Amino acid sequence: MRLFLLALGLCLAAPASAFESDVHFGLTEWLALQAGYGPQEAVTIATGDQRVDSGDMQFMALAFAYACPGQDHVTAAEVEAHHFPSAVGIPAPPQQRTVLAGDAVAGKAVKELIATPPDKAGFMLLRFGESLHPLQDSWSHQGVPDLPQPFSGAVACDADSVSVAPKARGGWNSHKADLTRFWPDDTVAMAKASYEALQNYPATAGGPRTARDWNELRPELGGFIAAATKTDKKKWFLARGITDVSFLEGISLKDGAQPFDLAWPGRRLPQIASPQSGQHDVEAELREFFDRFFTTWATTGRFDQLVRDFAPAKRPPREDALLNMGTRELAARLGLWRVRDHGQAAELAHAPGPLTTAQLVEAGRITTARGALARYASSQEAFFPLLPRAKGASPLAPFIVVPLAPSPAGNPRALAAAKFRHAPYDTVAIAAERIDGRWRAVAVDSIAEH
Amino acid sequence: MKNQKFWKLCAVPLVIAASATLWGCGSDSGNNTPTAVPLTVPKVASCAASDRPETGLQGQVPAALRASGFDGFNCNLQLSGQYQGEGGNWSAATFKDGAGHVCAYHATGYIKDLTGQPVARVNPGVPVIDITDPTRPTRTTSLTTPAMLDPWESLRVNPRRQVLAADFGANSSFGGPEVDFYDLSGDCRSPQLLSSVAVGTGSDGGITLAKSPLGHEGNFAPDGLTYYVGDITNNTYNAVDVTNMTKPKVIAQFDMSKAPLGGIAHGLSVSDDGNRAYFVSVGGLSASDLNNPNAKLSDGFYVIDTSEVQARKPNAQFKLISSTGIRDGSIAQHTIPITIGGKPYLVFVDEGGSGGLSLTDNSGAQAACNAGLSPFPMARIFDISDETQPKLASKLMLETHDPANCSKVLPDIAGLSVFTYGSHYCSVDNRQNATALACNYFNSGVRVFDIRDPVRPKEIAYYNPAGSRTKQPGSNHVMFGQWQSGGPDWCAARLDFDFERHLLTTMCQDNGLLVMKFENNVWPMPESTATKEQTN
Repeated sequence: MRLFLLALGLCLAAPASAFESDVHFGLTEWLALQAGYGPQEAVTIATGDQRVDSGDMQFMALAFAYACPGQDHVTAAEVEAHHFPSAVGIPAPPQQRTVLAGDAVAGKAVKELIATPPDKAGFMLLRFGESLHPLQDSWSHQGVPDLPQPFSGAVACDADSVSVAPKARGGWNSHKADLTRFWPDDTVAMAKASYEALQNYPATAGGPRTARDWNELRPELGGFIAAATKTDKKKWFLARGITDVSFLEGISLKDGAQPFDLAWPGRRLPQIASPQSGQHDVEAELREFFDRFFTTWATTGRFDQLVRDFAPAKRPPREDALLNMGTRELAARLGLWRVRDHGQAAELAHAPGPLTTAQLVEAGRITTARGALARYASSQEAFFPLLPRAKGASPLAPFIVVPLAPSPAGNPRALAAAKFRHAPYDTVAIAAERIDGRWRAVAVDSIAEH
Repeated sequence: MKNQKFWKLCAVPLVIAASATLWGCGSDSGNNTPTAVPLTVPKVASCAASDRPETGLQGQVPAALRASGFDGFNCNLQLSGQYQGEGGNWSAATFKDGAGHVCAYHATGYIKDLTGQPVARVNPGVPVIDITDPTRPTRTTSLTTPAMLDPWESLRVNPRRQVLAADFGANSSFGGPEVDFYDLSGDCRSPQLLSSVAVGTGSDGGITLAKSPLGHEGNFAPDGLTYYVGDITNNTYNAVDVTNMTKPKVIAQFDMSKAPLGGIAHGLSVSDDGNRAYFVSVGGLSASDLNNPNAKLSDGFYVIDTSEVQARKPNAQFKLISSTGIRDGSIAQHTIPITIGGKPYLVFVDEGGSGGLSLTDNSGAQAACNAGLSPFPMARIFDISDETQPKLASKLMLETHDPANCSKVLPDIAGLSVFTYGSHYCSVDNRQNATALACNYFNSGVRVFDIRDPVRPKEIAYYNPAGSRTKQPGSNHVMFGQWQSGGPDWCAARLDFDFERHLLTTMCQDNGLLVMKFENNVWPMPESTATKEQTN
């Protein structure tokens, strides 16, 4: 079994992690300190950088809602600007939207922020941090954006507007693109460019800064780049005097030797007032189905029962199979998405279906391990708040419903997409179908984002 | 409400009366003072030994003291610390961040005067003042994005979303549709700009408006997802969805010209659940109508059902529940919904007296005195147990407000015109369990009342700062030509109670930021409780 899993992991290029918060917050904070910023200034810049990944409402963007199959070019353009900087805007074929590491487009926002007048520099540090994000992502996302094919291709994405990691760097269903140990040279180049930007930002009220020489810093990056677990990343930061490592919460690396149970308080996300969706353009019966489903999914530990309660009793005809999973696989995947240490579950959660018997057994082992699941009291607690894009305003919701084309048999279909707090670099979607007069959950899939 | 255009309205209330064809729907609460209740609020029973109690009437700074240079009065409130800076104007707020830093922010006068000429300023905008050590308030920076250059009466903190917000007042004449938001969550001493964007432009996904709202007043719903702009220029209240603070959008508008009182939009507050708003209606009676019991009332407030806005329903509408007119007041300023002993009340505050305001003289006060009405505005408490029929519980009248004292106080304000002994902003210690109400009464300074019995409030403390001998360029007291060397200040801003440290913080226009400590154990009271969220 071990050999099999090892081989499987290599085959899948080990979906793991990230130019995630280890880079956008941790490394950025450390670089800012080396550049002479005060501790609070460094944290502010790092916070601004990290919030671009689902840390504030303006950055909540789900591919399922804006391109797969939803159509929202405004949000798609924001995703491009924040994570996939390209000279060619949305909509355009992916080949025209190639991301070039560290080019002028990637550095445009940084350049604008560096021009901040000195009297405003102190209260623009957060925005400066935001501007570093596309610059840094231009290394992890360099190349031609991939075209996601969720639900085995049954849910179509708009190639001209969707932005996910290039195939050459792991593709749409993998976190590999942002895993520093796979891209040591890119990580160093990204850090150097970030450091230069940090040095060029105007002095704040804290006065002129004294920066260390880059050549002194460069050798220290080796340990950061090679760290393969949260524990290893944590050690690297602690060794450099950064004692609050809560920002590592949610990165896609495995915990490693020590369980990681810290929570990063830096997101600025409002509370969801109700588990009931108020998405106006969705029929009440479908909304209520997803309300109940997401509430149960977020709070239960019995995924077989979840499937019994919400999935069809029997599998639909073969011609509908693209959107259907067997009940055992559906239960296994729903359980995997509740595993708090996403690094532990990522290989299987992102594995193409159908899962083999061995994979199902392994999923069961991971899911039922002591303390494995993220515990939530409600769906409001479990999921990031989302704003459905509709005419007028919408209330915050834990999920966004997107209509799908009817099944070959003519049954209405829809999906609901959400982001678990413990897996912030993934969007998960539940496909549902109205079968025999009742909405039922038929499949789950995900897209790795940002 | 202090721009030139408005002075004309205030000085000629007939202009208002002529347009008020929809009047008559509101209840009249003008003379609904409960029987057997003193006309004025009982004075403080006793002051601390080192205090400087008032020498004349309650709230009065007698003419002689003004002439010789007013050195200040205080009773049961002692100054802990002060940051004068360049003075200030209309609004102030405080915030405590997660690391325990406590910060104060306040508006200062615009960089142009009322005629559009530049004002010489060193540090324009909203000063950020660290009051973690209340004895040493220290300015760390100033915020200078458009709305922060003069938030006028709109500067607010929303604790739940840890944000500082303002709309662009700019002398209430030069402002625009910009709303600025600053993140306070990291370090309140270093607010971080989230956005500075125009609202109601028609391209933001919100409703289409004939005109973008212009800044003046503003306040949050407690959940921080809606910011309401009170726009006196276009006479509308605007609900701005700020769930995404980089893309605020107007989602509903209340057109005051179609409302029953027929007054003008100004300040407001929102209930804890966000389903009610309490909009004021700026108005007043003409001198000839002061004794006319049939005169139609335009000053007062509305109880508004905002549940469709709160729920973000498509095409959300405001629904009028009730309107309440005020006879012996004018130029309504703002409201605060509170609970006392489990019962709902509404604090309502005017900034104009019974005879209105005049930019050029104190004829309004004189007219009120002639009619036997209070010459100066005050705070009031209404029982809103039945929100369809709010009932006056009490008036927070000082002795200066008593018409019987007109002959004693009118000489004090000779040569002055607006505000003088009137009220402007109030705050409570805890909206869910209000025991104390603090109000700024311009020349009378900071006044604190025990409101545990809302029918019989009593004063427990006051602090009236010494007159300034130098002009402060950020003070609208100066800009409006009402400042006199050594004369009493204009204390007009919001106030913030600090339960843990027994402090009260506010800003007076010439003295700048004031941090005061309660003495004699007058507050907190045994029934007082701390509040995590102060959104007065």
